[in-house]
Amino acid sequence: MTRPSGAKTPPSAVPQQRSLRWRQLVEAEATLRAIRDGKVDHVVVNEPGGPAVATLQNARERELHRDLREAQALAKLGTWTYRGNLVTWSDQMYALHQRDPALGPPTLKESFALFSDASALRLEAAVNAALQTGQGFELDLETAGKDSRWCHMKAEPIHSPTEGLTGLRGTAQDMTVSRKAEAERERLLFLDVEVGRLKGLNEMRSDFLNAAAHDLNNPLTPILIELAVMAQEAGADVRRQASIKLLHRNSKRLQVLIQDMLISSRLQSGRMTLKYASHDACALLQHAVHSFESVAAAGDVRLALEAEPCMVDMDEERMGQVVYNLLSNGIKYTPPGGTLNVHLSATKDKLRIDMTDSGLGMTPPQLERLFQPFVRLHENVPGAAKGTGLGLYICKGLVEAHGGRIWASSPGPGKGSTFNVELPLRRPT
Amino acid sequence: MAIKRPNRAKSPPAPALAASPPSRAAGQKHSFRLYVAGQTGRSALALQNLQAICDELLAGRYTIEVVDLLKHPELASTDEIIAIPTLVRRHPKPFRKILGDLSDRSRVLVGLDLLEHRP
Repeated sequence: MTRPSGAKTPPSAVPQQRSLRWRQLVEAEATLRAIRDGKVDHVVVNEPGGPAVATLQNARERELHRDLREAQALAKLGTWTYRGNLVTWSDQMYALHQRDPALGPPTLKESFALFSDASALRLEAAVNAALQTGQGFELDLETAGKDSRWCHMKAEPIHSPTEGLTGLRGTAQDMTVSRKAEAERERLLFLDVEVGRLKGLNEMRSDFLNAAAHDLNNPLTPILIELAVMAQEAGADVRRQASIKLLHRNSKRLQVLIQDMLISSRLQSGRMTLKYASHDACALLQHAVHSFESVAAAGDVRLALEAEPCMVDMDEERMGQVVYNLLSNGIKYTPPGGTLNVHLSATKDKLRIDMTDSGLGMTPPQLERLFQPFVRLHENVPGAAKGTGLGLYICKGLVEAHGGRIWASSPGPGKGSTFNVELPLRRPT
Repeated sequence: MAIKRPNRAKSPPAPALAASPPSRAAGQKHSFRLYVAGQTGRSALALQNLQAICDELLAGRYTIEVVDLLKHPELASTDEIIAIPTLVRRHPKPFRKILGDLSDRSRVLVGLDLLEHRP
């Protein structure tokens, strides 16, 4: 209503102001309409530091942008461009490289440094080649840093109709999870093969030891028989008797060593078969102690047995071997004037043998190695070098084959030691 | 502003006087200023559309000055630019402002007085 009248009146201050306001209103309305209709995509806003340009996004664009961002996060797929010396990154690229989005995208040079040395070189070469030839590329790359990730990168050139090749755009697919799973699968496969190979080697070794021990043992029997015949024939010839005795003693020793090898190889390969029967453990101990009495007397060791009858399921020969071995050790390592006490006790399902000597004793580290093969703790004791170092290893194997256990204790060097054997009374099923 | 208003008030009768093609405005030398933000999206489109229209109707009689407000936001105050892209016709007078990417050809021609007017 005021405008037509304002237009007719001659120019004056008031209508001029009105028309200015009117024009501004019309312009503002047109601007708002343009924004609403999506005709413009940027607006100038007044920031404290001066005017600045802000990007407008309409609701549909915002929605599409959000969908795209979420899809990229779900697929762990980042997108990037390189154009006019500028790198742009989608949000997922920041996630892949664990880079703070506030830093913005890196420069091209910086982006190479985000990868391990080898990957960076390959990427740089591929990018340079792509920028020269206009050909895309595909690479598997490893990121730098201790928590490294793998990504599959694809790139293609950006062509503009007027300027030709203007840059590159591409994707980076995070492959870390599948890559790790694959590596783990390969590792397990390798371990499986390796375990099989080692098992095979171990079996081969056991087979060889077993066969060797057998073949070494066989010729010894006729030698020993022949020696017995020769001893009879020699009669009173002292010199010949002495040499026959030497031969006999060494052949016997050889036989013992071979037997040790044979048994330990059987124990290792788990091919030890026990001939179970019910026996009196007390009788076994009495017999063993009796046969060592002369040796003990020679070494001035007082040997004492405290036992009562106790029936137990066992392979008598093998358990006899265990007891002989322990007694022999006990006497060997007890200095003259010492004692070796053997004690047998039984509960309703277990038998226990304790052999306590007043001998050399052992340190805790020595105790730990005691039952390992080829271990000799007291090299400087006379007679110690005679064995193979398999004695206690075989004892342990035989006792465990019976379902029992063996262990030793010592208050310390020079204070004697105790060997304990525990066996189930009934054959374990 | 005081000068422009009489111009605007006079312009409605003008089409009636210049009834025959080409339009009155089309014969003059034109100068435009296009305010853009970068060289993408509607800004790029606006420049393409403007050039196409000028080449067709004002061949050889126009100048286009492109102002990138991303680079020089302070220049927005010169023509009181709020939305981008905005085309400003600086000559012939009066100033005209057209918002958007100029893809609606007939509206642009009306806005710039370049339409062949029919009686």
